[in-house]
Amino acid sequence: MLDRVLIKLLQGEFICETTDPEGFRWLSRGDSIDEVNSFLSRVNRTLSITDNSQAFFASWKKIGQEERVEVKRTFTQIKQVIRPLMHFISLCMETQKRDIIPAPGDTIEYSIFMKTISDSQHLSEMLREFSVISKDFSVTESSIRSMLDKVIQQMEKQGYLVLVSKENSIYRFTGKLDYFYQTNEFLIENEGIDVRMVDEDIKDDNETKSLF
Amino acid sequence: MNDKVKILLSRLHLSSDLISHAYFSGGILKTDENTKSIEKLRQFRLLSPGIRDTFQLRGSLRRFLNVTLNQKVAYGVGANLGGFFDQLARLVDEHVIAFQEGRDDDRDQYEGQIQEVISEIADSIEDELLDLRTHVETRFAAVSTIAEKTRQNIYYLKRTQALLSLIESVHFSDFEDQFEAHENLLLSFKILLSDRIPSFRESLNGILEVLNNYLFEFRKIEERARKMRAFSLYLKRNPDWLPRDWDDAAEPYEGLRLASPLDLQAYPDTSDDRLQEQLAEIAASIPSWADNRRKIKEVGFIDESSTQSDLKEQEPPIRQAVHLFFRNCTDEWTPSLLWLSQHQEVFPSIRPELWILRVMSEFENKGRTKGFIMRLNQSKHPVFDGNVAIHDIEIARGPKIR
Repeated sequence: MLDRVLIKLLQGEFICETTDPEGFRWLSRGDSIDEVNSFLSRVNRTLSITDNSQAFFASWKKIGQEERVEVKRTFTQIKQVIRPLMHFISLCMETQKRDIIPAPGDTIEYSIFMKTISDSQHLSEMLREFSVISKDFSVTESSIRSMLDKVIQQMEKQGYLVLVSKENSIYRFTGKLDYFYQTNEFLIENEGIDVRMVDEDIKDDNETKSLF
Repeated sequence: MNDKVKILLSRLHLSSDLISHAYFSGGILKTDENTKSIEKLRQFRLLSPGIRDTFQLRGSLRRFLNVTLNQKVAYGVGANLGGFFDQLARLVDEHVIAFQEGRDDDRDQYEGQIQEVISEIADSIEDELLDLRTHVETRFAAVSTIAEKTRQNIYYLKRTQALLSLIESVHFSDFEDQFEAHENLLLSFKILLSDRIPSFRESLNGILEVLNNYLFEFRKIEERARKMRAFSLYLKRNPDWLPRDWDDAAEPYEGLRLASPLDLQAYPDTSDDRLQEQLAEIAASIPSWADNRRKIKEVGFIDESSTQSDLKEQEPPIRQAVHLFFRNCTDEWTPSLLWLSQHQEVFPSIRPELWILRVMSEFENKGRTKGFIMRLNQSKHPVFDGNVAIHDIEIARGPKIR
């Protein structure tokens, strides 16, 4: 198990219940962590776990000049993914009519997802907005299917979704989503975004919606 | 007695469609066709009247179906276990009196009833555990909002605690003492109930622990959901918002310390004899010839009607980046990877390994002749002896062009 897990970590993968249940359980044992860290530390890496213990990943042990370049690149990637992923999360919540944000392990059934979006003008419009948010989501054909395929494909590519049943087209959120939420929480706290004030705005927004 | 059960079951069988419809739709409308069946079911006290000519299943049958089909019911009340224990205590007292007064028929009747109540208590606890487990394992999947889930969690937490307290408050040994002289009753009581109490207690404690954890987790999820919804709205209202340069902090935030992926590849050691067999197998599985026939393209045609005059091919981003990089180079050394990371937003799709190769070949092809100079930022690899790790390529304008 050690070699398999080590290679995945070195290749930058997030190990969670969805992507590698066996590896995740093995890592959750205290003694495996020491074993993994003794190897990772030789290449300036250490094992990290997300805030809610949903995924393991390798992080830098020490930040030198070279690692600083990588830190910048990581942050650039985060900046690029914030808006589209937050938009996708909103789309999931509105499609499923839930006030709970998706969590690692939650599933998306493509056919139901697609039908719900097709039946609603508002959700279709939300789907269209992806191409405005990022050029990575633009498609040549503007059908709902092609737009949704593009979004799902990007989410898979970024490592937030995994296809768990090819036959029934069921996707599952990975533990990397926990990392994303964790990063957002850091930004909310440190950028001085007043959540309480925005809470009031959500109430106003809902009240305005209910008028129509 | 047996005939009555058979008649009832056959009647239920004849009306199975109607019962199923009433169960899943919550009621059934009386029509000319089903009047007879409805009346028969009412005689057996299986249907009760609703409003506007509708009928619904009586609570007893609906509860039976809920339990049998393991149907999730929000805030299910469960069985009145306290009532069953009271009933058991009364029946035991009457049984003792009938025994002392030598009323054998009455004593037999009480004995039968006591056995039924013992089964009822054991079954009820088992059903209750199943119901609780279903809700717990699905994390209250029947409801969708976090507030509903929290409320259900609190309700089931109280119900589990009440059940646990009830089990712990009953003096099972007192019952066993009273059944001492009655072998069948003692056996039923021990096998069906008292011997199973420790495992029931353990299961209930387990459920209680999970529910307590959920309560804590739901509060965390609720808080996180609240933050994310607010953040989403904030992003919508501030389309130009960008986070500050947290990557410049002396000690970057932990999430930014994500180590970059290594592109790992391995090759078999062909000189290793132990691999000979496996390599031969792989070699045998490779086709002996490759279909490399040249594919002939279809003949094209010139569209004379086209009004477009010149179509200019757009310069690829990597070429644009290389040209800009060399233009930006001064007589100071410019690290190419650092330059790329500073221009990541303009050229987001360029992979560093390709970038390095492209800069190197541009230097070899044109840069050197134009007076640029290059140096490698390299070090011996700490782990893999004999290898040199190249960290970056630095370019500067040479003395000729300064």
